[in-house]
Amino acid sequence: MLTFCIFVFYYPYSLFMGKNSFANKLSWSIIGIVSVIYLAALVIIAVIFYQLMTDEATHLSQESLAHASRMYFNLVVVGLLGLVVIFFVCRHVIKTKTRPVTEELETTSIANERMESELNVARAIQMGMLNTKFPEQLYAMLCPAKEVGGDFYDFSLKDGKLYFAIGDVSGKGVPASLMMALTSVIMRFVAGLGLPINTMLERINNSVSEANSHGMFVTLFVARLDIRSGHLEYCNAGHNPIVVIPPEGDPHFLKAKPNIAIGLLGDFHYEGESLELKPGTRLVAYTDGVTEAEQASLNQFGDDRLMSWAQAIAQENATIHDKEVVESLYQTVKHFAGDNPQNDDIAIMSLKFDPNNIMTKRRFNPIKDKSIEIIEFLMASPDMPADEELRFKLRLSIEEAVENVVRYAYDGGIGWLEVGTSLDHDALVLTVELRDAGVPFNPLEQPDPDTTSSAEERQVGGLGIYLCKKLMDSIDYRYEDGNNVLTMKKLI
Amino acid sequence: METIINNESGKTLVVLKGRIDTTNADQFQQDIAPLMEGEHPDIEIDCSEMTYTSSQGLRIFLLLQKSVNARGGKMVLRKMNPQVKEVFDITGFSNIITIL
Repeated sequence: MLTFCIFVFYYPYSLFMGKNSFANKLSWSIIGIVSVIYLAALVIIAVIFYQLMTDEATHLSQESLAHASRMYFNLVVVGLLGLVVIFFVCRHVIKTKTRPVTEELETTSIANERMESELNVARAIQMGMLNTKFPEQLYAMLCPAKEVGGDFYDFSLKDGKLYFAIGDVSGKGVPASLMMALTSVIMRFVAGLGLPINTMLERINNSVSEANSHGMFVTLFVARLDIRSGHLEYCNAGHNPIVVIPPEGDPHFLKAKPNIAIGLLGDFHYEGESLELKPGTRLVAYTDGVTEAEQASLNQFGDDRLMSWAQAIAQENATIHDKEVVESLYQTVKHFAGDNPQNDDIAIMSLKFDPNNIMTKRRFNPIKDKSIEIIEFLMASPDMPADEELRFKLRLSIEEAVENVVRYAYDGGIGWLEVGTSLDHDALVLTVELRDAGVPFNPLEQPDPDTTSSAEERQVGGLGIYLCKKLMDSIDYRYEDGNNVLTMKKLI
Repeated sequence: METIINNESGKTLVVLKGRIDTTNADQFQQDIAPLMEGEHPDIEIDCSEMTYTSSQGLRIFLLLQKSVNARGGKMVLRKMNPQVKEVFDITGFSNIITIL
């Protein structure tokens, strides 16, 4: 009887445990209802039978009574067997009837989950394509309205030229993001060729037009700034005008010759132009997600609010950093839109022309036998003074500092050394910086040689860093992010 | 870097031309190897055309001076350009090497 009960109650239970699918939940409910009705009927029959039996008990013989009890027991067994049969029949019927519906529901929900996870991966890939190693002069952000979007920015700083671009693909979501990926890859490639800015746009346009099967287009602003002279070359292909915040005077839009957006017409002749920026001038580039941000009442942020914002920024233009500028505009737009969801991708970029303290740097790797190349690179920096006497002292200090790294930082000279110079034009202080990832070593902690001892007592080594200390006005060492950083300064 | 060595009536006359730096310090050390030999050396080095020396060059001047002292000789450096002289002064080498 116990085995029987286990079979009857535990088996169906075990069949459902661990399966939470919709079909199983449904059939469990239906089987439950049918079983309850069946059991109720069975109990009623049993009660009636029992009453009949007890009424007749006085008239029946002992043998008949035993027969009736067996009959009663058989009834219970048959009833329970019936329950098992009902269970399997119901289950079979439900499965056959509901299969198409439940399978469709399950497939859709799996597909949705997969799509969502794929979009998240796509977003990560798109964000990963963006350059986030910002130089000192520039900061940018991208905030797509959906998981992925069609806005983008790019920049690179090489040999004193800061190239930067911002763009917006028509539409949004996945199609725009694919076009964005195509355009930014072509753009990055073309940017490395060092072409005149309008030729750059023409190359990008021809390549994108060829690959553009769906008539999409890309508005694009591309520029190249000489970070020392302030000479700005730019070309605007149908993009929103750039905001110029000069050190003095009112912010205004950068005047640009009209050119059609990228991807619409191959072989179009783009016109570039140029401008001399005054030191302290800031440029803010953005996409139409900023100016067309909407409130619930369909009011748009617009150019006027953008200019009011720029007026406010102009007050603190000298001290505020590009990152704060970008975040300030984004927060202003978000605050304006209120609870209204972001309706378009937003990209914002801010950069400032500040010829002071620009670090001209290069990383050499490996550095074995590269001392002279590294020294010559530093001596050729535009920050270096022309005065021969100063150059002599700088060269000697640089040679000693570079040699110190080349010989001792890495085992066998296999490693990198990043060197750079910067010049504070106001204080006339030249800074030379050396950074390596070699053995942590503070050369300033080494004892100075005894310059008063005789030739016989005098040690042969330890002169290099001592010369740096004596020839430069200041020398500092710090260990930072796993790097040795040596900074030497000289008033020139 | 060029090193010219002449012997004249027991005196060794040396002319140094160019720069002594990390690239040629080893070469310079080989070039002056003859000066490291012989008893009671009398060496005079014309530095008028030596335009630069790093600590690598100084190290070799110190080795040479030590060698000359050990052999009971004498050495003078002449007509040193003021910038190079300053390097010898800063490092205290002017105290142990005769610079005229």
